[in-house]
Formats: sequence, C-alpha cells, structure tokens
Amino acid sequence: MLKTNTSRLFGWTFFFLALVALFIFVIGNKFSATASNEEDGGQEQTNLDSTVTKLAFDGVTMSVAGAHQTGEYFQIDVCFSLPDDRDWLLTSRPDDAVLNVNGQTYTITEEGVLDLKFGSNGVVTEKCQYLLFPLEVENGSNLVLFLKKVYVSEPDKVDCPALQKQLDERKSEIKVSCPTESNVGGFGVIQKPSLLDTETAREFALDILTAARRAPWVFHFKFTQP
Amino acid sequence: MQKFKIVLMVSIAIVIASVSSFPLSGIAYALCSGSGCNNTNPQTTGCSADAATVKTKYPASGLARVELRFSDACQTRWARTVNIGSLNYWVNATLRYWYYGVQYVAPGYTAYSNQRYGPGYRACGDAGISPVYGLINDLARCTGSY
Repeated sequence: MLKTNTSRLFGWTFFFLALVALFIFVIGNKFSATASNEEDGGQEQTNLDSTVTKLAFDGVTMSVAGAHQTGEYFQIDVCFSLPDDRDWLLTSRPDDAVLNVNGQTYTITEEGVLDLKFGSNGVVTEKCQYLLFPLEVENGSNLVLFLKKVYVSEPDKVDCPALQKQLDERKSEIKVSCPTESNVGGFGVIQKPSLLDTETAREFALDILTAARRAPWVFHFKFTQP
Repeated sequence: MQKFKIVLMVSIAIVIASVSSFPLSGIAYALCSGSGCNNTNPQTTGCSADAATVKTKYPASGLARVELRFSDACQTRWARTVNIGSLNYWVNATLRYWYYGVQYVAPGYTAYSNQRYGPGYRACGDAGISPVYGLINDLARCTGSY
C-alpha cells in the first residue's frame, strides 16, 4: 500500500514538473508556433504540437528562431541545416518568402546572414538568416510564413558548358548562353521546348545551376511582443 | 642506404599528399590583396572564387535582386544586381558611395560592380527601362551594411 502511494506520488510529481517545464518553455518563446507542410508528402515534420517549429526535407531542417519588429520592417529569423559548405540562401525572388498577416500577404524586401554555426571539423553546418518584410505587425497577429526553397548562390560567372551539359543530361531541350562582357554574369535561355514558357525554362535551368531544393516550408505562429 | 631512400620517398609522398589536400580556394588564386584589390574586377582577380551573398535587397520596382557579395579570402565586397524581370532592362549595381556598373541585360543576367577591401559597405541597385549612369545611394534600394 505504502509502495503504491509512493509510486503515485512520484508519478504525479513527475507529471507536475513536466507540466511546469512545458509552461516555462511556452512562455520563454515570444511567439507560439506550429508548423505544417501543405504539399510535399515526403517532408518530415517534427515537434508538430510543440512551440518549436522545425521541418525537415531532403536533408535540410528549417526552423523559425524568432520574430520582432525593427523599425518599419518586421524581421523573422530562420535557421536551417546546410547540405554542404556552399553558400546556401533562401530567396532569389521576392515571392520566395511570403508573409501572410491576418489574411494579407507581403513579399520579402531583404534577406541577410545572421549567424553561422560550425561543426567540430570546422565546416559550417547551420546558417541563420534574417528576413525583412515591409510592415508593422500588431501584437497578437496571426502569421503564416511561406518559404519555397533553399539554393546555392549563383557564381559571378556561370560555367555555361557545365550547365548546358547538365541540361542535356536531363534531356531538357533547353539551351543557355552566357555573357562574355566584363562585369556581367548570369545566363539566358536561347532555346526551349515549345510547351515550356521562357520563365519556367529559366527557373528549371537556375534550379540545376544553384542545386535548389524546393519544398514549401510553411510556418504558422502568433506574434507576441516581449 | 636503401632503407633511407625508401623513408625519404615515403616522406616526400606524404608531404605532397598533405599539401595537395589543402583547400586552395580564393586567396590561392587571387591576383590582389588588401587595398590593392580596390576598384578591381572581383571575377578577373579571382576573389569571386569563394564569394558569398551576405545581404540581398529587393527594390520596390520588383525587377531586381540586389546582392552584397563578400570574398572571405580577399576581404572585399562588391554589388551584384540581377534582372529578375521578364524583359530586357538596364540594371545598376552600386557599391554604395564607391563604384557602380550599368548594363542593359536580358532576364537572368547580372551586372556587378568593382570590389573594395574592408567592412561596412552596402550594395545598392535597381533595374528599369532607363539607364542610371551613376551611384545609387538611397537606402530603399540598398542592402544592410556588412
């Protein structure tokens, strides 16, 4: 009888401590968040029901690390694991990062490096980027952040033959050309299948060039000012 | 003597293998260093070999992606502007207060400025139907400082 009571007491104490820890964790974070992925069935979700938003796909784990108002911009900090030590980024167009606030959408105005984390071998393993959106967010607003992809920054001079080879290997029927002038870079699409529009063909080639990994990471959270 | 030769050859092989496995990026091929890189082309000097985009700005025109590029090996920065529109446009890439490049480019093409040694620079720029022959310095079209 005494043993049963002791076990119960221990159990309730543990439950109470766990509850307190969870409460502190929730309060400690300035915003509450849940994560969801709307399209890709291959994406792994972790901590779906907790306040930590973390999504993993194709070897990249991404999380929202914080959010706050900075002057006329609303800043969201996003951290993600790196597939390798190249220069991985989150946006190449404004609509690659979209913030929905109470039903209204805003595209990104600026992205930048916040922090790099290194492994024991000295190689960068995680990167944190800040994302700025041109709006003032009111306390208690419901936010949804859409991130389309991660990719490696384009080189200043594209290796056109190498890119063309990769396009040919995929039987894309896309032909690209690169500028030769000084202080000019990038590439253009000079030939494509008739069924593809130029924009899609360029995006296809760019994804190959930049090793893009596409998966809509969608984060839902409520903004609570400190 | 024969033993000495073997030891010597193995030692040389180890040294060659060790040296050849060093990451020879950026600085190993850079043709400039320090302020000697100022107002030079980051691509032809080799500084762009290890370049990273540290800041990106999207001006209100919606036609350009403005990037602040950074070479860790050369410790230089430069501006790069990408035409993200669907037509040909004039693009301006300005390293704020210092250098600019202007080009008429097709969609997906980029223009970049010359580079400058040291910290605390912003990249500015835009794309449009008219060329801007000069520095773009207004913050609405500039990245943060790095």
